[in-house]
Amino acid sequence: MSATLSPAIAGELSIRSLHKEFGGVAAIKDLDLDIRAGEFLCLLGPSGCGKTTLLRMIAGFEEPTAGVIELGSTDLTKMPAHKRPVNTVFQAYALFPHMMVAENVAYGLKQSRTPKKEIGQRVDEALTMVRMREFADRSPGQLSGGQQQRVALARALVNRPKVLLLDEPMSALDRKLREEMQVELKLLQKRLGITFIFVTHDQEEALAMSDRIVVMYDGCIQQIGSAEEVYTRPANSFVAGFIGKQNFVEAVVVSDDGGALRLRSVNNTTILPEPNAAGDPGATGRPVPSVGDTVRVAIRPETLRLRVADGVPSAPNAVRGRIAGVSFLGDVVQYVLLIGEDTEILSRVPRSDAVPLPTDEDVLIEWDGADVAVYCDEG
Amino acid sequence: MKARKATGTADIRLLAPTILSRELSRRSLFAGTAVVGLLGLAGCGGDRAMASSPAPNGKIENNVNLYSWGDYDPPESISSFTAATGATVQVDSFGSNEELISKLAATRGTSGYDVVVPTGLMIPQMAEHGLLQPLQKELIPNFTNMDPNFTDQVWDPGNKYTICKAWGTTGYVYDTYTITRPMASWQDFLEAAMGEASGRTALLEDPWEVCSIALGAAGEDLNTTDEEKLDACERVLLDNLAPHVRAYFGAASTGMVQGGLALLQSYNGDARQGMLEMDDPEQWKFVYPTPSANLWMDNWAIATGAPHPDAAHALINHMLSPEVAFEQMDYIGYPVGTKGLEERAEEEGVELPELIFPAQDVLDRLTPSEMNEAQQRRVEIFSSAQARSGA
Amino acid sequence: MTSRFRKFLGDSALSFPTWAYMLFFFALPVALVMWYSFGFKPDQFTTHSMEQLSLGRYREVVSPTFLSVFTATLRISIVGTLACLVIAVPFAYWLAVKVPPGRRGLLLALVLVPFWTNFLVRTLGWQIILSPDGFVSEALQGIGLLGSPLDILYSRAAVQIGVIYNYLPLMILPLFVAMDSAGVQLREASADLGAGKWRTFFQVTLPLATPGVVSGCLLVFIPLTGDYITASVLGGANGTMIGQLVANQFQNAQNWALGSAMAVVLMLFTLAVVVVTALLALVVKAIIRYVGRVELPTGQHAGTDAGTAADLPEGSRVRQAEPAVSGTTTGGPHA
Repeated sequence: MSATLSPAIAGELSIRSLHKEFGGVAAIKDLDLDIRAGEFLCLLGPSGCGKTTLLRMIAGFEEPTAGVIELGSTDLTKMPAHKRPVNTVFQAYALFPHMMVAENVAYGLKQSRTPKKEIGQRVDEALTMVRMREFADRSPGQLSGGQQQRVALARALVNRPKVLLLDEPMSALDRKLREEMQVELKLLQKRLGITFIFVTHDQEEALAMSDRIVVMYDGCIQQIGSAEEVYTRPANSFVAGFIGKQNFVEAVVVSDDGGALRLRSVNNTTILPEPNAAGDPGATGRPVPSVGDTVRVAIRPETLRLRVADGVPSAPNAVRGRIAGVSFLGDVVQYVLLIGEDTEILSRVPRSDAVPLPTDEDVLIEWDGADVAVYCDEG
Repeated sequence: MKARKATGTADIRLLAPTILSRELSRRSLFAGTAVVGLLGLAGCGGDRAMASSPAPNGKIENNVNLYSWGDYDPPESISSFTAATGATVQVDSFGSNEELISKLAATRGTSGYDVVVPTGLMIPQMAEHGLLQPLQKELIPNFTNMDPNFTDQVWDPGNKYTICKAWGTTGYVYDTYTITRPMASWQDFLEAAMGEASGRTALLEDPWEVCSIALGAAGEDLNTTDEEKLDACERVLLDNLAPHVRAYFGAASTGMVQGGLALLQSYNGDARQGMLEMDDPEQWKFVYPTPSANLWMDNWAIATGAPHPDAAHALINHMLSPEVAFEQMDYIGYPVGTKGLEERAEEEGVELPELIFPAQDVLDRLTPSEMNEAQQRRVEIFSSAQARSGA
Repeated sequence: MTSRFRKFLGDSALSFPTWAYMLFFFALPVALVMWYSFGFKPDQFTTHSMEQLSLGRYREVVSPTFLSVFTATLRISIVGTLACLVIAVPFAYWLAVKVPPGRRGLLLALVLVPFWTNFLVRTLGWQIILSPDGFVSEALQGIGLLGSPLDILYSRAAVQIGVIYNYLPLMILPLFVAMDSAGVQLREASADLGAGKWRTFFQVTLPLATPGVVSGCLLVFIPLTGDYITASVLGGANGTMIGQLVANQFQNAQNWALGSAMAVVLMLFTLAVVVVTALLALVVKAIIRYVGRVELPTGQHAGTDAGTAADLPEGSRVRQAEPAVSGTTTGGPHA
């Protein structure tokens, strides 16, 4: 009990060779992960990627097929869920319908036989913290989704867990409320200093809140990094495609001059990625393509520059195309560009930049070598 | 007074199914009558006059409705009647004379039942209330097959309304391994019940029969209406017998078969049925107790307002033919009152015939039960005895 | 007025099957039974007469015999209901919580199989099972657990076993549904908050299954109290139940007036037991709620009134332990 009562010393989790199978099908494949004390970590990936399974194994709801989960120096692997110093905010909140809000929040403290007076004090603080103090005597059924979520948060945090697990807690909220809660949650985490592990399939949510993002796919970690790192330096084409909008083009390596690749795309455009820049394969430990290999080239829509075509491009990193569609997305304008007959790419430019170009206009599309990423994988 | 019927044939040794069929027939009539009883409501009250009875016209109708005790008529006798006359028989069953009488009285001759089977002691009142119609003997030529011992009874002189269907008496059956001394009287029954058979004794679920134990043991008239004698009877039953009684049964054979009991008040045919089902026939012994016991007789009769009078008479006539009479005796385990039945039973090698046909000295000492003004008192004594046994 | 009347007719027309059923199969029969209970049996040839209304039958009902049988019945039905509950709760819990959903259908079917058999046949089966010469008796003697043949057939114990067997499925089904609907999520939430299996069961699963417990108890208690088949088949002199007395009046004595009075008394007592139990349950619930209540500091809550909270030794300890919390509330992320 003293452990859970001690000041919010956040947990440091280390996960080693974790493996989980359901009926012979692997959901988590030999996964290693270190989670730093007090960080806000997002597990991001499409549904079925194993992120929720990983979270449930940390919570203790699923037993790993193999591997170890340690919190600080404590081995959690075989510890039953109710003994772990972690708490969870569930996707559907899972508030106890037969208890008032205050009783819900007090539930965890009662299990640890906290003195009655202290329970009252801490429940009061927790409810005040999530701005639900005046709803203490309501039943969960009388609350809105957002209110229920705050109660669920208070119910978990009141126990001062070393690690707080959040399983897509925002998925039932409308967009505006979700954005408010993201800010609130992030601030709360900063103040409390508790390790947050947040599961989501929503990349914007992950980018907005996380100290680090773990991108998962098919039971494996694809990349671990800050929001900026996974966005600007995706480790592979899956991450590149999953996070943000991306233009993928297939190209062949024409020459390799000491790391300076020269690529030719299917429609004969020459692409020169900048060596040792964002997309440099060697820089992030990815395999380096050799001459003659087919690679996938990724260029973000917002890094493309457009101007009215005044001839055939002479320099590399440029191609001529035609505007097939224009759409306004609030603060940016998105162009759908057609290169040749069937290659479509996206371009996004800030709205204030210039007068939007009309449809059917022939344009010259240019980019910097530094914004080109090259992947050898299949994607 | 409840005439218990035993079922099955003598060679049945498979205990459980036999028990099931008997219990089913005994109980399932409860369910049936509950429903019919509710429907019968409609006919209650109002005009007390009886509907008139259609006269026989010499042409047998297509069907006939028989209202009898549960499982009291062998199916083969019914089907042979249908084969012979073309009339189908619809059989319905009741569990007590009271039930039969209420139904007939409530419907005032519109019950739709043709042939009914009341017990002898009920017949005078039923006839007096116009519930039965006189039989037309010329339509029942087989009446000549009847043994004169069982015709012209006190409750129906000249067989005006009824003809014997089956008769029997009451006694008790005991486990000879538990009770080793000779048993002969109701006094022996009382002593054994309070002695070696304590807690393993069962009585019949019938007020008159239970009272007859104490009255018989005291040598009183079993039909007595004397208050002092009934008071004494009550004291014996409540204080001496009841605390040792394990159960009250409609049919003793069930208790014999399930085991655990050592002394059971029982109708003769029922005891025989139970004994036939035992692996060890030596284990049980039946006693026609002295000084007296009940002599009961169930009787064929035709209800007032019977819609199928020709078929009704034909059915009774059919049941009195020697072949069918034997079939019935074999099926229910009680004599049906026709001539030559005992000889026939001997020829066919029927088992335990002494339990079907009491000896003449037994017959001579039996007392037919009466429905008299002390019946309510007997019901009270019986209920108190049951309560005392259950305490 | 007219439109309201028409509206009433229209609504009732829609619900015709429901109210017609209630009227013809519940209200009318009960009303008839109540009406008959004020009558009498004039003679042997009539089941009842309403020519003279009186409470005489009720005076007859309150006889020592009836009361002793009544007490015995009440004991059998209360013990039976509790036993069904005690057996059904773990079973329903196991079925709803531990058994993989794919196998539940089969197990539920197995629970229901006896129901496909006639009630009487099922009960008769127990006559054979409990018989002193039966296989159970012989097996128990064979392994030395019993020195003499099993001696419970035709006793109250046999009736008790019979009713528990006969009514158990009526307890299991609503309990299973209730425990199943509580859902795995809430049990996980409870475990997550530090409650072990037993605490989760008593604090979450069972309280949420209360409606199932209530309907299960009613479904068992009410028909069990009126049962007479089990008692007739398995009971001896001391297993008599009130239903037998009522059935006896209707079927053998053909005294509908007295039988009706008995039935009415039975109904009223059943109702009374249900009401008293419900009141007790409410009191217990209120007590549990009172004992388990959470008392938040009164007045201004701690977060906004730091001074008050700091005066409390407990509060100050908590505050030191987690200064960030009060910081949040005073500052407030949205302040």
